[in-house]
Amino acid sequence: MKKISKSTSLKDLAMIVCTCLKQDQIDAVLTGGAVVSIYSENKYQSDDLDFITFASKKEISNSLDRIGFKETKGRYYIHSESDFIVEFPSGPLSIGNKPVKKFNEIILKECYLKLLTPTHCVMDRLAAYYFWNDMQSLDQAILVSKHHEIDLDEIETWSIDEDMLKRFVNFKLKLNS
Amino acid sequence: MLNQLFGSRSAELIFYYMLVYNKGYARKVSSTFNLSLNAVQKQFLKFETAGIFVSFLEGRTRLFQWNPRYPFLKELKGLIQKAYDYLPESEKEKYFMTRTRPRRTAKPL
Repeated sequence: MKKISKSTSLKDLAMIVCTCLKQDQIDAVLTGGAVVSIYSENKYQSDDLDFITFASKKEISNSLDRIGFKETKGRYYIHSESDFIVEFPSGPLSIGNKPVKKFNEIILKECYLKLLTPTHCVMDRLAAYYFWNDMQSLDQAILVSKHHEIDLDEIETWSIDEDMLKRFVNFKLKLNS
Repeated sequence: MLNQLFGSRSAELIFYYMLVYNKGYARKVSSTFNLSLNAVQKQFLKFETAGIFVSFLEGRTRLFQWNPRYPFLKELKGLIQKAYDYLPESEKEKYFMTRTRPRRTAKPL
């Protein structure tokens, strides 16, 4: 496994963390802005890695301690050789009020990363646009959609369920412009 | 009623408050129910960490509201609503009948 340094990219760090957790039988999924960074090849830059897991805080801390991460009072983890922070927001992993069952996996040499699919990443960003009118999240959803194949039908069905069809139409218009 | 399920009386009361008013801040909730401000603040933060509430800073006040992305929101609110329906009318009158509709600035009371 690669050593963590100041030059370790967000993607590499995510892979190191996920691999370390997996070695300790902790199943964790990368979500949030870091997924956007990975899928947009850093056109959007996130500063933190959000992982969802059912493992306990103690299990997580013991695991991350092996690779030099320390827990802070703010409930996130920092590393002396990295500017990125690692957080474990409360689960469950869901988009809207449905559990997420399908994931993407990246395997490179000895490293492994489990993360949202591009479609679910877009839905995660759109949720912030839908519920908080966050335009940055809309831009990020469009960014990921332009870089990857996404299931627009799934997104539309979910948007209708969330009573957000108008905003979905707006997203589609901007995507195609 | 549900204080043992939720872990404390302040937790239960915060849920009733948020059910009725949809948003709240610690000082207001603490004064409404005569609870310790510290206890209310801690409880709000616990619920925020759990993903049930989200918060925004309005001026210097941290305002909490329901997180629409919380996957169990409908079910949780359903439970709280049912418990609220069982509250004696006297309790509802005492705590949950505060005027919330707008009043024009400087209109005499």
